Amino acid sequence: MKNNFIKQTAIYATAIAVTLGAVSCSKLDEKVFGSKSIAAAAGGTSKADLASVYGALNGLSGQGNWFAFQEHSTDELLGPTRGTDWDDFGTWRKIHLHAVDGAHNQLYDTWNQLNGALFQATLVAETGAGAEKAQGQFLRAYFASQVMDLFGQVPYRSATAGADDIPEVKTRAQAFDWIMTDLDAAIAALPTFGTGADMHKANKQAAQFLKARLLLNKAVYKAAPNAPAGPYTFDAADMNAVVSLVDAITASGKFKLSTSYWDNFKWDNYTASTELIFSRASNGPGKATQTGGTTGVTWATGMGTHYNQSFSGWNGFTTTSDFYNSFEDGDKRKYAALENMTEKSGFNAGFLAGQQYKYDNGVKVQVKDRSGSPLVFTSDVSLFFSTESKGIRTMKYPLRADQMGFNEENEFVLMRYSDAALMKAEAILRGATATGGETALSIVNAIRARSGAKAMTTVTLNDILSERGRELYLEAVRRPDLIRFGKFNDPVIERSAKSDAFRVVYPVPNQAVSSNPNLKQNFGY
Amino acid sequence: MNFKIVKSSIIGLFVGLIALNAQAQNKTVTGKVLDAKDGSPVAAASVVAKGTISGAKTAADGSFAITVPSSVTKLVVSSVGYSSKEVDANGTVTVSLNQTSTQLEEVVVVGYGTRKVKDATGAVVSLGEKSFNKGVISSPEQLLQGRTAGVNVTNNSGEPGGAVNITIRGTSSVRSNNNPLYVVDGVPLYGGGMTGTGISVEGSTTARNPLSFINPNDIENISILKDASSAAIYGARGANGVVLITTKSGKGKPSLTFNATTSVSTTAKRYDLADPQEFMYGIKKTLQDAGIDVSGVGGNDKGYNTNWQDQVFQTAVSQAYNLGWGYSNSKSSLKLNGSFDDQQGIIKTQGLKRMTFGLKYSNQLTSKLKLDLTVNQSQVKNSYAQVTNNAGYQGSLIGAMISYNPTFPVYAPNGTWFDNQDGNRNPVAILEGFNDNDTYKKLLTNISLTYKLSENLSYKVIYGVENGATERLTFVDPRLGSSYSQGNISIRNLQYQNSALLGRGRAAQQFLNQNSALLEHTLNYDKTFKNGNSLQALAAFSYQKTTDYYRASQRWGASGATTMNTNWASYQGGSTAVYGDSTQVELQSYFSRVNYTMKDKYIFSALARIDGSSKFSTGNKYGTFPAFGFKWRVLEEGFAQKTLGNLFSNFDVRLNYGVTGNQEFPAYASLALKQADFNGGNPTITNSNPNLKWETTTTAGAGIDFAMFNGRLNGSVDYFDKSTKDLLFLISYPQPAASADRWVNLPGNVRNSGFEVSLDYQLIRPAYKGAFGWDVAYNMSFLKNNVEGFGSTVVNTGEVSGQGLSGAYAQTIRDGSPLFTFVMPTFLRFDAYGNGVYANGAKDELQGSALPTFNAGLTNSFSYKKLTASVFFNAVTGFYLYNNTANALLLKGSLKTAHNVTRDVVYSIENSINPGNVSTRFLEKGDYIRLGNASLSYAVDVKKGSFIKGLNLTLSGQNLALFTKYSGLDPEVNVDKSRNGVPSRGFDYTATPRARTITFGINARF
Repeated sequence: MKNNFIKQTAIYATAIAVTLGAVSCSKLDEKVFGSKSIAAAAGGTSKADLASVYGALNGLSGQGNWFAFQEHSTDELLGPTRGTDWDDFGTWRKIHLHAVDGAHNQLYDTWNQLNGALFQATLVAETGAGAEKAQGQFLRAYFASQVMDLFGQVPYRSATAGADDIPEVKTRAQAFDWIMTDLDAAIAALPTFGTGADMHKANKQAAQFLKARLLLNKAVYKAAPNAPAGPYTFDAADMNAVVSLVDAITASGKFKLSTSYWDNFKWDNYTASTELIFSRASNGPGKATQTGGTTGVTWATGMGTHYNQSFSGWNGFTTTSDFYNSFEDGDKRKYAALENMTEKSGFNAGFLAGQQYKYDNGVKVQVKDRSGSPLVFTSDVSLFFSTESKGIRTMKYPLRADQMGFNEENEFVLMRYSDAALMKAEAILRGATATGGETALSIVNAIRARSGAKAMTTVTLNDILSERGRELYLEAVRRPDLIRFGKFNDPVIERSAKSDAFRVVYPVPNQAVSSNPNLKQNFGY
Repeated sequence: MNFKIVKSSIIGLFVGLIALNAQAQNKTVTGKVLDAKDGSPVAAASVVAKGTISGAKTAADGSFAITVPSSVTKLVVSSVGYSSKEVDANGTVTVSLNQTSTQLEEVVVVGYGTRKVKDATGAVVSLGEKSFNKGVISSPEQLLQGRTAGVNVTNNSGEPGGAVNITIRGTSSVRSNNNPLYVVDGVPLYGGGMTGTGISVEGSTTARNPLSFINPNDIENISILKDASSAAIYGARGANGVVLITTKSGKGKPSLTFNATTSVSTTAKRYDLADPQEFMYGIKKTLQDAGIDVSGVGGNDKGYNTNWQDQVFQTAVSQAYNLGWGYSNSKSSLKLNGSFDDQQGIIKTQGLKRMTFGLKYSNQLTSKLKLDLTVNQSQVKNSYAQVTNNAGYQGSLIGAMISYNPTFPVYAPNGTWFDNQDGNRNPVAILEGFNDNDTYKKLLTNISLTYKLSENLSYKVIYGVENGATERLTFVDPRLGSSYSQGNISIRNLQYQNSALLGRGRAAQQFLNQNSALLEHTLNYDKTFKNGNSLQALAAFSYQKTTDYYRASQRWGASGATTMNTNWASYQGGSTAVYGDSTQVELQSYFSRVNYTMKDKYIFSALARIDGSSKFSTGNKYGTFPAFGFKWRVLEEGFAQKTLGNLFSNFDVRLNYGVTGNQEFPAYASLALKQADFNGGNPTITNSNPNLKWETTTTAGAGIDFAMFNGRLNGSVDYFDKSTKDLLFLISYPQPAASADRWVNLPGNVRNSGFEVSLDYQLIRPAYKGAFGWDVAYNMSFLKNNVEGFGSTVVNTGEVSGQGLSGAYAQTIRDGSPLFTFVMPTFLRFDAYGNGVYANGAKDELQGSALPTFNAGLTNSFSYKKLTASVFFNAVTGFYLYNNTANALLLKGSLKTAHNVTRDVVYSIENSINPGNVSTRFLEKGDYIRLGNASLSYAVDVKKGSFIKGLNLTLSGQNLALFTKYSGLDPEVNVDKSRNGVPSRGFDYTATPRARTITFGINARF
C-alpha cells in the first residue's frame, strides 16, 4: 500500500513536472511596442538624436522657468499678487525679491529642463559625426552655458556612462573652459548661416555669437565661488576677441540691423528680420507645417494681457515704472502702432499703459475690467497687494491680429545681431581696440536711430547697460547684464533693499543636491 | 508560451472525458435534511458521497436527490452552522443536523482552496450576502464598507460608479497603488479597465471604478485575506491584502429568482450659497472696503434669481433588475444570471448603465474528473459630467455652480446660454455643452478541470481570460467658446496650438484594450490520517500575461460649427492628433502551501511563493514570499477546559508571519526607453535602473478568536505590525539625464500597526421561530502609520488647485511622520484689516495626516415574524481633510470679481485682497459618524404549491444621516491631487456630492 502510494505519486509528479516544464518557458523579458524602443544598454544611451535637442529650445520660450529666472530677478519684470489671484505659492515674488531657495519649484524644473537638453546634446556631441556632431557641440555649449550662468556649476554625464554612475560636477571656471572647447570645435566645423529650414540650425555665426557672449562675461564666470559678485576685472585680450568675433559675424554678410525694431519680433519676423542669428521656428497658419510645432512666445505676452483684452491673457506680469521710464517718448521700442495689429486688435507693440482698447465688430471700444470699469493700466504696482489694473504690461512678440492665440508664427529669438553689435560697443569701452571704423558711440546711435530715439553725444558703460535694457528687454539677458555691470543686487522697484552678493548665482535645487554627492550647494545658500 | 496548444489540448481532454462519463453504474439516494432543534428544513446543505467529490445541495424545503456510483456506501451531510453527519447511502433518508454553537464550521475561501473557520490560521474575513450593504451599489467594495475590521473603504465622491479607495490594514506603499488584489472565481483580476482620464478639456475627469463590471447581485461571498500568512499565496500582489469574490452557483431544484429595485437619490447636503440680495450686498461691500468706486456695481445685477444648484442637481431615479436561474444535482450545477442597472447621478448628466450576464457551470464528468466553467460578460456605459479634480480658475461644473452670478438667468433671450465666457462659465453651458461617455465591455471567463489522481491527490488546471475594452468619446459644443476647444495640447513634444480651430468645438476618442490570460496548474493533496491528524498540501505553477493597448485621437469641428455634434466621424479629420501606447507584463509564479492539523488543536500552515515579473531588471525578476501560520485551539487542551472553558465555549490563539510584495508600478521602469516624438526626434525618455527589485511587506500578527455564552457572543481580536521596505519610488536622478527621475527602491520603510476587534452578539435569541431576535455586530480598528528611516528625503504631494495657487501643495511624505501628513503654515486669525495672520512667520509646519486612525462599524439586526430590519452606523476618526474647494472659491476676494460664495464668506471679516494662501485655515478634522445603511424587509406569505416559492419586499436607505463638524459637504471624499505622480489623500475639491438614497426592492423566487 505504502509502496503503491509512493509509486503512484512519483508517476503523477513526473507527469505534472512535464506539463509544468512545457509551459514554464517565459524568460520574463520585457517587450515594448509602437513608438517606443529599448535604449542601448550602456547607461541607457543610444544613437544620438538631434531633432529632440533642437526641440528642447521650445521649452525656453514660455513664461516661467529659465525665462522667469533671467527676467523676474531684474527691473524688467515682476509678478504681483492680485488678491486671490497670482500668489502662486510666491513663486514669482521670490524671484523678484532675490529670495529663491533650493526648494523653489521652478528652480528644480529649470535644472531638469536645461540638464535634460544638455544630456541629449551630449549624446549627439559624443556619438555623432561630422556636421551632426558639430551641431551637438554647439547645442551642448548653449545649454551648458545656461546651466553655468544660473547655477554656477555644471554636472556632466558622458554618453557612455552607466546607469548608476554619478555625474562629475564642473566648477563654473572649469565649465567655462569646457564650453569654450566645444564652441571652438563647432566654429571650425559648422557651416555659415543658411536659408530655409537651415536658418534654424546651428551655424558658425551663432557659435561665434555665443563665444563672444561668454568671453564678455568671462570675468563673471571665472570669479571665485565665494565672491561671485565680483568686483570683476575684464581682460583686454578677451575684449578684443569679442570684437573680432562680432566682426566675423558681420563679415559673413548675412546680418544687419533690421529696418524696424519690431521686424525682429512680430508675427512675420522669420522673413522680416535681418538680425536672427539663432532662433527657433514656430508653426502657424501663415507657414507651411514644419517639425517643431509652435514655440511658447505667446505665453510671455499672455501673462500680461488682461482677460478682457482681445488676446485674452491672464493679467499677471508687469514691468516696473523705473524700467518703463528709462525709455524716452518717441522711442518705438516703448510704443509703436503696428499695421495689421493695432487697428484690428487694439494692441500696440512695446508697453501697454493707460486705457486699453479692443475692436468689437470693427468698432474701437474701451476694454472694461472685471467689475465693469474702464481698464486703465497704471504704472504703480505692489508685489503683494495689487488690484486688477495695476502695472504696465509688455507686448514683445506682437501677434497677428486675426490669429490672437496659441498658434503664433513668431520665431522665438535666441541670438540677435543688435545684441552682437552692443557687445562690440561694450567690449570697446572695456578696453578693446575699435575696428572697422565703428566706435561704441556710433554702434549705440545706429541702434537708437533705428527706433527713433535721440542720438547720444557720449556713451559710457552705464549707457551701454541701459541701452541694452531698452534694446534687449525680455530677451533673457537682463540678469547677466546687471551682474556683469555689478548692479544686480541693487534695489529695484518692489525690492527696496540691496540683496546679498551671493544671489548673483541661484542655489542648486535641493533634490539635485541630494541626488548627486558631487554637487555642493552654492556659496551663501 | 503557447496558449493555443494548451487551449486545444484542454478542449480535447474535455471531449474525451464526456465519452467516459456515460459508462459509470449509479444509484440514486433521496432525502431531507432538517434542523434537529425545531425540525425546520435546512436549505443549501451539502450532501456528498463519501470519498468522492461528487455532491448535491438541498433545496429550500431541505430535500435532495443525489446520484452516486453504486460503490458508495456513505453520504456526508454538512451545512454552515451545523455539525456534519454521516448517513448510509441507501434509499430515502432523513438527516437531522445539530446546530454548532459557533460559526466555526463555516467554510471560508482562502485562495487556492477553502478552509473551515476553526482551521484557519490567518486573519480572514468572509462576508455573505446577508452582511452586504444594500441599495444602489455600483461596485463590490461598496458592499463591504464599514462591515469588517481593518478594511477601510472610502468613496472618493458621490459620482455613480466613481472611484473607491480601499485599504486593508493601512496604507503601506508610498508610490504604488494601495488597492488590494481582486480575485474573481479564482482568477486574479488585472485591475485596470477604464480609460484613465477624460481628455483634458478644463481639468481632467477621473476614471470610474473598473470593478463596476461585477454584478453585485451575482456575488455569493466576499472573502478578505487581511494578513500576510494568508495573502502571501498571492505573493507579489498580496501586500495590500486580497479580496476573493465568489459568484453564485446553482443550488438545489431548478429555481428562478427575480429581483427588482427602484431608488430615489437626492443630494444629502448642498452649498449654502448667497442669494442675489446677499450677493449684491457682498460685492458692493467688498469694493467699498477696497476703496474702489462702486457706481458701476449695479451692472452685475441682472435681476434674476437663479439657484444654480437646482440647475445642476436632480432627483435621481435608478433601477436595477436581476434574473437568475439555476439548479444543482449530484452531477452538475448551473447558474445563469442576467442583470440590468440604470443608475442616474445626482448631477444631471452623470449616470451608469450596466448589463451583465453570468454563467457558472460545474459538471462531475466522471467520478474522477470535474469540469468548471465560469463566464461573466458585462457592458457598462458611463456618462460623465465635467467634474474634474484639477480645474483652475475657470473651474469645472461644481466650481462654476458655486461661483456663477445668481442674478443671471440660465438662458439669454436668443436661447443660448446667458453670458457664457471663457473666464466666467455658465454652469448650464458646462452641463449641456459637454458630452462625455464611455462604453466598457468586459469578459471574464475561466475554465478548469480537476482530476482526482488518487483518493488524496488531485490535479487542477485553470485557464482564465480577462478581456476589457473601453471606448470613450468626448464632445465639446462649439458655443462653449475658445478655451474649451482650443488646440492647446502638447503630445510628445508637439504642441497642438492652433487658434484657427478655436470655437469650432472639439472631440476626443480614446480606446483602451486590456487583455489578460492566466494559466495555472495546481496539485492538491489532502489526507486525514488514522490518528485524526490531517495534511493538506498544494503545489502550483501560474503564468499570467497582460497586455494593454491605448489609443487616443483628437479632432476639431468644421469651420463655422455652431451646434453640438456628437458624431465623431463628422469631425474634421485633417486636424486629428493620434497617439497611443501599449504595454505588456508577464508574471510567472511557483508556489506551495502545507497545512497540518495535529490532534485537532495545533494547526500549522506554511507557504512560499516565488513570483517572477517582467517589470524588474534581469537579475531581480524573481522574489520569494514565504509565510507561516499557527493556531492553538486552547479549549481542546484538557487543562484549559476546566479553567478557560468555564467562561468560553471556544478559545483559539493565532500567530502569523509573512512576506508579501507589490509590483503595482508602471511597466518598463527598470529600462531606459526611447520614444519617437512628433517633433522628428527619437530621444531617450527614461533612465534605467538595472537594480530595481521588489517592494516587500513583512507582517507579523497575533490574534484570538473566542466564543462565549453558548456561542451567542463570537469575537476576534487581532494585532498586526506591518513593515514595507525597498519602497518603489520615482525619485530625482542625478542630472544631466534623459528625464528628471527614475524608479528606485528607497531606503526606509512604511510601518503600519494596529488592533482590530470584531464582535457578534445575539443580544436576544428568538425564543421560538418568528419570535423577536436582535443581533449586534460591531467591529473597530485602530491604525498607526509611520514613515521610518527615510533620511532627509522629502516628497511633497497634494497639489492645491485654484486661482493664484499654481504650484501650491499641501502634503508631504517624510521621516517620522505618517504618510500623507499635511504641511502648511498655521493660520491664526484675520487681523484688523482682514488680512491673514500666520504663526511663526508663515513657515510651513507639519500638521495632521489624512489617514484615519480609527474605524468602526455597528450593525443592529432585528427579526420578528416576517420582518427583518437592520441599521448600520459607520464611524471614521483621527484624520484631516484639506478643503480645497473653500481655498479656491470661498474667499472674500471672489466677490470682488462678481463670483458667488457661501453665506458665511459674505459676512466674514476677510479683506478682499487677502491672498488665499494654503494654510490651516482650510485644514479641518474629518471625523464623522454616518448612518450608512438601514433596511426593512418583509417576507410575504406564499401559498404552498403556488408557483411563487418566496417573495420578499425590502425598503432600504443609504447615507441617511451624517454627524460631523467638517464644513464641506461630506468628509468622506478623496479627490486625486497627486503631484508628479505621487498620490495624495484627503483632499476635497469640487467633488460630486454624496447622495441620500431610498430604495424599494422586490425579490421573488419561483
